[in-house]
Amino acid sequence: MARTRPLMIQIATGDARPISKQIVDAVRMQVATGGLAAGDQVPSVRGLAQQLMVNPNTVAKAYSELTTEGWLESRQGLGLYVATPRQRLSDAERERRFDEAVQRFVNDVVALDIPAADVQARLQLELRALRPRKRA
Amino acid sequence: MRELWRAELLRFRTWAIAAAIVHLAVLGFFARLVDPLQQPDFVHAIVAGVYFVAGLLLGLYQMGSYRRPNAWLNLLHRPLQPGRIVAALSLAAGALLCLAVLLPLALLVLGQWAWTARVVDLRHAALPLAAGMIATGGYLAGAIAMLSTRRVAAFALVPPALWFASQANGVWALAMQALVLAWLAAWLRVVFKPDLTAPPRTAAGQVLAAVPLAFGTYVLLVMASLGYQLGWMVVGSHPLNGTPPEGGYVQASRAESGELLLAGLAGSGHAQAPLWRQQVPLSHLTSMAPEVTVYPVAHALTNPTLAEFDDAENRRRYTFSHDAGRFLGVNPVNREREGVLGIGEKQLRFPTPPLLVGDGLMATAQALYRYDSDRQQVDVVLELPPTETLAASPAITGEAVMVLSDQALYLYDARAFRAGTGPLAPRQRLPLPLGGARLARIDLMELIDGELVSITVGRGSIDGPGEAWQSVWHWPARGTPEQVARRDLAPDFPLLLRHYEWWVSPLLRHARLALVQLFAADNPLQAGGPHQRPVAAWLAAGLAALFAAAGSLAWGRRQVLGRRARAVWVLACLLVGLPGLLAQWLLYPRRDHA
Amino acid sequence: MNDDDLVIQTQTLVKRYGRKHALDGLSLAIPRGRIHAIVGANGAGKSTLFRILLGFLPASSGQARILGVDSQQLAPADRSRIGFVNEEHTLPGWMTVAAVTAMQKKHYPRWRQPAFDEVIGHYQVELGQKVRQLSRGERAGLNLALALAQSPELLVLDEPTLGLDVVAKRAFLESLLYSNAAGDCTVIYCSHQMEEIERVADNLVILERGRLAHMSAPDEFCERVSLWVADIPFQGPPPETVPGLLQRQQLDGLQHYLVLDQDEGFADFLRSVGARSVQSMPVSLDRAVNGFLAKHHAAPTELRHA
Repeated sequence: MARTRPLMIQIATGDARPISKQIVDAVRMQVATGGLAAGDQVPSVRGLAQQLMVNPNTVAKAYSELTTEGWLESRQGLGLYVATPRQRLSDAERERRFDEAVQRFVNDVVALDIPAADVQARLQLELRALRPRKRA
Repeated sequence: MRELWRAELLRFRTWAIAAAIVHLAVLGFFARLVDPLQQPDFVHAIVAGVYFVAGLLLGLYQMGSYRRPNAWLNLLHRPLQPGRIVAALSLAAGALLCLAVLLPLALLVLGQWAWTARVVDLRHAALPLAAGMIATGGYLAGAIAMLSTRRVAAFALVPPALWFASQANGVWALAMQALVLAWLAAWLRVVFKPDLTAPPRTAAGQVLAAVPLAFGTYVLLVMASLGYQLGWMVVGSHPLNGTPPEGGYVQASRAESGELLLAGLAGSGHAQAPLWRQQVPLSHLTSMAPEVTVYPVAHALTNPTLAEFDDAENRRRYTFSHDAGRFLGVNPVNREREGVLGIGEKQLRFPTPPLLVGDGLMATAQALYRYDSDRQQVDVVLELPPTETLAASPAITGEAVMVLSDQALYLYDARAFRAGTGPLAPRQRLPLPLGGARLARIDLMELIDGELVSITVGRGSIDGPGEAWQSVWHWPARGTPEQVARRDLAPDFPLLLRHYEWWVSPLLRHARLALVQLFAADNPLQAGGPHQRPVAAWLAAGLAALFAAAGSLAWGRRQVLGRRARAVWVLACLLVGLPGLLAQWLLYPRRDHA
Repeated sequence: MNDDDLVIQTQTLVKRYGRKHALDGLSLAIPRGRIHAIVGANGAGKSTLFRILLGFLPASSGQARILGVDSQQLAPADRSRIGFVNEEHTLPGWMTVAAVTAMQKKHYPRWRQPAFDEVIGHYQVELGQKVRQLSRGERAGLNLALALAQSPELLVLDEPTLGLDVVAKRAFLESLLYSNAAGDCTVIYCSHQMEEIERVADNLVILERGRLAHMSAPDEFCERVSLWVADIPFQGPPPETVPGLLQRQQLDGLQHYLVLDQDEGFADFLRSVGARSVQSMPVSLDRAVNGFLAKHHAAPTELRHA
């Protein structure tokens, strides 16, 4: 039986990203790092809104976007649950997002004037750190 | 609504109780010094003024606390009709004023009646009610002033001002108070609305505000003539300052009896005129003028002048009681009731409350009485016909006593007068040409075979309407009087200034007089009578009315007024004159400032 | 949109004070439901707008309707459907909390005691206390509890958390957002504090100089505004020529441009005027709104964006 897992996320006002986007990103991060497993029940809209001190409609909007993208699924009468991982995005979409992320990373890092070998090594380290939790 | 009323009561409860205690203490203090209920009019007027101001301050404070935009919104934005909200607030204030003003006074009256020998009539029971109404009137005026626009605020005092001018007495005075209170309450109701910047919404509401505005501006305009007189004084040619013009009324009213007689006889063609002119510097002259303006009215709430006198020999103080119709005596030593004074042996009731004129004399409108302290009895000295009114206290001139009524001059035998035996019959009677209200002075010169009497008419004609003239009569001891000279007295003030009060708004002048006389008893000593208005005054009135109508037409376009309202106001200004125009200007805001 | 669904509707509403315009042709249509935040600089006309909408001030011209009723014709029954809370939290200081509550209960036919209890439970308020003994935050809470317990269809809050400490502010927002009391009413929330607005608003309404400058969801608005930093020699292009400019700053020799509705084409523009390097980033709501409102201070000859 799935039980409600707490959602250990934070949002910040005055950030360039709107609050709903922050929630979406945070949930995605939690799922990606294993803080939320498939089948876990996420907090209710009201509950999360009260936890974050935001308008419940904002949480509803974030949840709805996550559901559309396939991260969450709704079970009738029971609530929202983390969906089993499957291809949530089309290949083209994945490619596009990957491209974007890489461009952003490269742009940010280039100004720092760090040797490319160090950059690569650091990247590998970070990705390796993420991977084991993903399998759990 | 009841919750709101209770809340407001709670708010001022402590203040009201404290005020009631202080009030009672002050009343008690004064009651030990004097008899508060027997004080003359002006004392009561001052005290009434204090109550009025107390109510006014309450109204200003209470509504002032709610008037701020945020507080006003909080008060009126609720599912309660504004009429109920204002009713709750005013009834609470009324209850508080009852506690602080009416109750202590009622206790005073009750206490005096039950525990002292002082005279307390039924009319005095109405005094606490009157005071309560006056205080409430002050409250309503203050509330209206606080909630009206700045221009209109001060005119909330106009309806209560009617109280001080009204000639109504007793129960009718209470009725007058009630009428004014009703007007003020209705006015407060139409002012009490969410939008305080706008004039009252309905036509009736605007009338409620417009009428006091018109009367108020009328009074201000009339007072403005004083400014004109001030300028006159500065220039130095004001008739009342320095030497008055020759042949004018002011000169006549100030002249010595001898000068006046000579001036009167100057143009006479009578055979004996030169003889009389020679006699003037040598003869004994007496002058007399009407003194009484109003007699006490039965069951009036207050006395115009003192209604008590002391009998030093018998050690009694007599106070007139309206209920008993007689004087009731009190022994000042043991403070107990002792003695009753009616008319004559049978102690009959006085027909109306008498006026004390000094020397043991007292007068009602038709009779003169004297108190004899030896016999402790009041006797009738003389009686006038029922259509005449005694106008002055008697003046002794040699062997005769002059008695002036509003329609005739009488001579009585001086010895008989002093002896005071029974109602006297007059020796001679000279009918006066005009009603007593316009008589200015009478000057009498004794002749061998009668008197020479100069009658000067024109009271109130200095700065008011009416003709002034002087006529000299030969009054033989036996036979009919004969007019021997007459001259017109020139007015000293310019014509338009004298008729100013009328032409600035004939309608309002008549309305004002009517209101002042509403419910009042007729007073022959003050009847002004309709005046002849010269053509110039009519022209001035017409021009002023046209100017006001034109002004209303022009100004109305710039104000927030509908078409029909604008037309009504133009008509109103035509009828009412300048005060109407000013009222319109004060009441409605300008279009761009709305 | 069906007129019945509009809680607040104004048409070219104008309010003049002499030559000054508090409202200058404001046409606003706020639909039923959700939380609408109204922001604007002081003098933008917010207080005037509410006074007119509630019938306490006449308009110079134009129309104003609230809950479908003309503002000058509001009847007591209409007023029972509209709650109003402002920063003063005016309550009769001499009365006890219990007495004030009892009076409200009597006046409002749809009073819900559980709603009141729920909201007041956030605060340390005792029924026997006199209102003047309450702290500002407690008074605010009481005011909100009274307003919500009325079961209003429309609740207008005009800077309700002004002057409240952090704890009181949080309690206030919690009551507003999460109590069952506020569930089915439309809320209009006016504030200067963007932090609050960001948390609370479903719809953002920007008033400027008595007019409606913008109305949309907050993140939609935010997406329209972007910050561009460019290294341009000398002064850079004159402000009038910069498309969609809201604010311009020169810091450390670099030109910072806050612009509205500009996409990648703006980078081309910057390069065309000689920029050696160009970078852009999205901005926070706070910055976006401030920039939007400040644009007239930057360059009075800018194009107007409605």
